[in-house]
Amino acid sequence: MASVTRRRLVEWPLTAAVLVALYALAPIYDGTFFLSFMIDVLILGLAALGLQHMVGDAGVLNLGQAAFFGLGAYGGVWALQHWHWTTLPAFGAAIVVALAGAIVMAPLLRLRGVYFAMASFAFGAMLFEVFGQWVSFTGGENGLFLIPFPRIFGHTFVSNRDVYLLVLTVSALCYGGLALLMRSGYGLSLHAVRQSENGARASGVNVARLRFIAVAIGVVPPALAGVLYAQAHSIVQSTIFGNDQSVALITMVIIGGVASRWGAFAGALIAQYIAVYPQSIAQYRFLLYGALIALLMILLPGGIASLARTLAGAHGTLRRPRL
Amino acid sequence: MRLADLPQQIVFGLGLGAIYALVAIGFSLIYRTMGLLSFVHPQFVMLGSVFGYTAIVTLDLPLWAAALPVGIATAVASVAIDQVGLRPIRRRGGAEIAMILATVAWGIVLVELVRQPWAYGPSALSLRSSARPPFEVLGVQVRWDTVGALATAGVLAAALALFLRRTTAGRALRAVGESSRTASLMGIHVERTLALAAAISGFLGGVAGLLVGYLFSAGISTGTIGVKALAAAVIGGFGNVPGAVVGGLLLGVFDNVVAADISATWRDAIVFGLIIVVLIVRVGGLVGRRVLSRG
Repeated sequence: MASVTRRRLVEWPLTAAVLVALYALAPIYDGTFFLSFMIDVLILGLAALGLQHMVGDAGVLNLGQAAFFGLGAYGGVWALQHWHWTTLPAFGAAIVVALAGAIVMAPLLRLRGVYFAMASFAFGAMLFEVFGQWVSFTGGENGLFLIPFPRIFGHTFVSNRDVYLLVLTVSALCYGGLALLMRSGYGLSLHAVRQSENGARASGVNVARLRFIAVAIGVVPPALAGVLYAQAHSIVQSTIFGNDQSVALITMVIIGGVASRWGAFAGALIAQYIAVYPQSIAQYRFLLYGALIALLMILLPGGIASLARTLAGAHGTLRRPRL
Repeated sequence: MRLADLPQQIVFGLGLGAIYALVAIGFSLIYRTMGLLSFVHPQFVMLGSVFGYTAIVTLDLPLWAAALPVGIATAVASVAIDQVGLRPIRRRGGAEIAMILATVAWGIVLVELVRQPWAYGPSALSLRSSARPPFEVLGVQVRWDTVGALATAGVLAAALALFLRRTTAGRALRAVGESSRTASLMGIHVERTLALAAAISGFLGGVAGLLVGYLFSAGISTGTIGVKALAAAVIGGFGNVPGAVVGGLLLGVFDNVVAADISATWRDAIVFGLIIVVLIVRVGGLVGRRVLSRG
């Protein structure tokens, strides 16, 4: 365990430094396009963070994560628009709706491997159809408009600096919350299941329940991300909650490395950068994106985090079995 | 729901079902041999549809003559992707998720290539200007398209069944499907056999795409029909090749009846819901009896 301790000694100051740097971006890039870009990176990173918990920590290969992003967005927006709730209670509404989705997904959890991948893909595809067609609730492809700015304790977040700070704070809280959870008994149980499912079961871990809890926890960050997305853009359209979004999210997790929590955000940064920035080759940017993922899967199936870990020479301390 | 229209819907549905069947066979064959859920597979339908556009509109071939070149061209693409994009991951014993994502990525690459203005562009392409008028059997209108699609699927499925049972290469394929390790100990060249599986599934997907182009339209969005065929493979028991044919026909009829009599708006949601229901109720599929050990 000495190596684990050493890793923590590096990890916590590093995390804190990155966080400070991210907060420092707000005054420096106030009002610029870059900050709006970073808002989207963090929102997508949040959705990917929940997925990372399912895939990396609990081995639940969910190919329909965008559905929870959408459920959160629509649940939250409904509370914002129809009940005139502020952002924090709207988060609650979003979480409730996303959890309802998790409960619908629960019976699928007894499927394993390809079968769960397929079922979760169908789950995402089905909800995407529902989002697109249930116009009275979701606005369908045209979307819901005029969603109010975030408002917490009487403060309204109007400028992109304020929204960025809000999104960053929510991201940091979710990140820290998950980090703490993984150190609790719950996290240790997940770790035990990764090492040996039968062994964990023999020691009294209820694996089925654990997998469901992991999914239920993993839908919370995307639900929050959905509300933040809606409030940051003041519009939600069903088209952003499709299978391609689910694929994009799992790609972010894989780019970052399934075992890595910060990798979810690093993956979101890279994916969003490719989607937004290369103006000169706009026509080829998704071709580039596809080719890049394909290449990454061939060259570096462990994601960037594995590269970082290899370079740091600290690999192998917390080995995770293949999915 | 008017009962009198039901036979009509069933007949229409069979044409679509033949297409689903062809795609579903590919899904199941790939899963049987490689243990892989391939998301590039639906895009071979897309590729077949635009290749069909080239064959029928640009080169002015008749439909029956277009099937072979379109199928072969798609099969070549399928093998190329398998060898370049998936084989290296397979060789390293890469994680399942890496394989699945690689297929997703190749699917994106294919769609984006076809989308380019110098390729086929983003809009739907029409493969024909007119259709022969339908004929009637017992008061039910039958379109020639339906007959053609069913005949094509029937011939190809029968040929595949014969190939899998009677030829050495076909038996090798089945052996790899049972256990690639044992097969390789028996002297079967596993990689070559997997390439063959990729070729066959690509061929069938391409021909299905040609039919999609002919029945509906060609273009980058036809891959969605391929994705829905996943439901057919699941109904037939994922990995069960004969089951995929039955599953395809059932799905085609189901899809069409739902669209006509229940709700055209919700048909896709219902089809995806069906995948979930079948997987929960009977993982081994509604058709076959066998529960597969893979996965």
